[in-house]
Amino acid sequence: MDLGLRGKVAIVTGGTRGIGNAIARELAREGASVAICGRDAQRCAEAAKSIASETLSKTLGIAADVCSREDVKRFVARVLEEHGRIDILVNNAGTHVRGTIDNYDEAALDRHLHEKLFGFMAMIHEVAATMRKQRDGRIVNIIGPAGRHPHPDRLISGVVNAALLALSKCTADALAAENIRVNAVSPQGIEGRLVDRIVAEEMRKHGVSQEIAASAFTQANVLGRLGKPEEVSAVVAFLVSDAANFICGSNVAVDGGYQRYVY
Amino acid sequence: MDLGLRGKTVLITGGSSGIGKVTAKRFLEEGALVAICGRDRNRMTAAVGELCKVGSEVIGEVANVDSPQDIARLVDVVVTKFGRLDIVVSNAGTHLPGTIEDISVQRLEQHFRTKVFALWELARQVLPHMRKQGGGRLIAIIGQAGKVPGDQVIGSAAVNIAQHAIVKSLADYAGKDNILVNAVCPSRIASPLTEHLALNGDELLGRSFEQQQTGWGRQVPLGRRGVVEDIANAVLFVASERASFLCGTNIDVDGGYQRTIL
Repeated sequence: MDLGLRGKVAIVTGGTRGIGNAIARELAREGASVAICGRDAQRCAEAAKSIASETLSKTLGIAADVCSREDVKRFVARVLEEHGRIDILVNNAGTHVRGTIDNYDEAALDRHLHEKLFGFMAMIHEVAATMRKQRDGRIVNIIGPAGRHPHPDRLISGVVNAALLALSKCTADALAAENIRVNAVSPQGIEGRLVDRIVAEEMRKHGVSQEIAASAFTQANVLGRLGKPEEVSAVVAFLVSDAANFICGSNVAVDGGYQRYVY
Repeated sequence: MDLGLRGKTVLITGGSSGIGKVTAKRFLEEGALVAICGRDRNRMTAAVGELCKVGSEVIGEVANVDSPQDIARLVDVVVTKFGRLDIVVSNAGTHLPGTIEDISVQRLEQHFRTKVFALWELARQVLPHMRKQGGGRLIAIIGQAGKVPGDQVIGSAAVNIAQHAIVKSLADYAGKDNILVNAVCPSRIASPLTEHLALNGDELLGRSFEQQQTGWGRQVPLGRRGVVEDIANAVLFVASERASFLCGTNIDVDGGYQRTIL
């Protein structure tokens, strides 16, 4: 299927590793020019170089922290200076933060709110003017299942993800009239550093084997396995493509059947 | 994006017109082998003639999905001719407009037969084949009244929500056998189904003053109707090798029409 992404300019935040990196690669393989950002300058440069050499696509790697309004402005301005347009924004930077009401890290909550909620919002705000001018834009927010499927120990991510769902639908409504499509993807249980870290924590906390700790993920979904970053990036590439021109204000779970609702 | 659909065998119910026919065409373009069914022999012959210009492997079978016997025969014919059945799209059926006083139990029952019982029986018939061959995909087309209820769509709302319940429960059951069950939810698509559909008052329910005033939110935030190709593309993606971690989920293809944030 031709996704119509050749020549498009795409921004992926948190694109140096994991799901973000897979998304950046996927879009570059489809012929888009990709700009990634991350907090570590060296990692940004290396990831951009690796994507460019694999896909022959022009790739920018800019050190920027989406928690900082100045960084967001500078990053977007740099992409505009290079390409003169921005067709696609994938808000991906950020992680998953656990914590219960009795035991949560105030600093982690603050950081998470700034990174995922305010960061996503700032990025959309910053690219909206350009996309409006183009009368074309495609935005995908990478959220997570905790907003729809809360747990006692997913307090921080649960609250932030629920807010991100509201952000996605509100901005989808607000920008749709100008042909800017905002959608969300909620991955769960995807191979990578995040799952590795949680499994290691569970092993330490409960004194269980790696296999048992990992089964918390693999037994929590229907397919009985972890997903791969490429299984998320494919959905994102589809949503930002011309093939999805009528998909707007939707949230797609990429979770192997984890979430428990009929829709 | 390579969808990995080359050589895959596909059955689409209600494939002789509208969304079903265009979806069949798109599968053929991706190199799949396609079987369609429909009730009307003339329409079927015309559709197969059209589709044969796109791909060489097209089966058209006259069948009424309201009949469990027809479904059993249909699946048997397709499996015999193609040797396997990789992808099934449960698409047959239409929209049931009107208030509770407009719709008799008999008419409601008829719609349940076409959209809910047919999905049920289709699943019963294809699961054993898919299990034997090591996996498959079942995709239900579910109207958006399932998520956007209203006084004028009460019939479709009841039917659609039952389809959602089946898709999610079936996904739980079949996923362990590598059979992925998902849904695509169209609304505000220009198609034969919506051609003569009168607009109704509940289009404004749940919308802000600004949305109502500016008019862009009257029907759909994107401010235009979708085309059947939009649905076909979503079905193709969900059926593809690249959608391998989608299980029991659904994709709205509605221009932003539905009002939930989930």
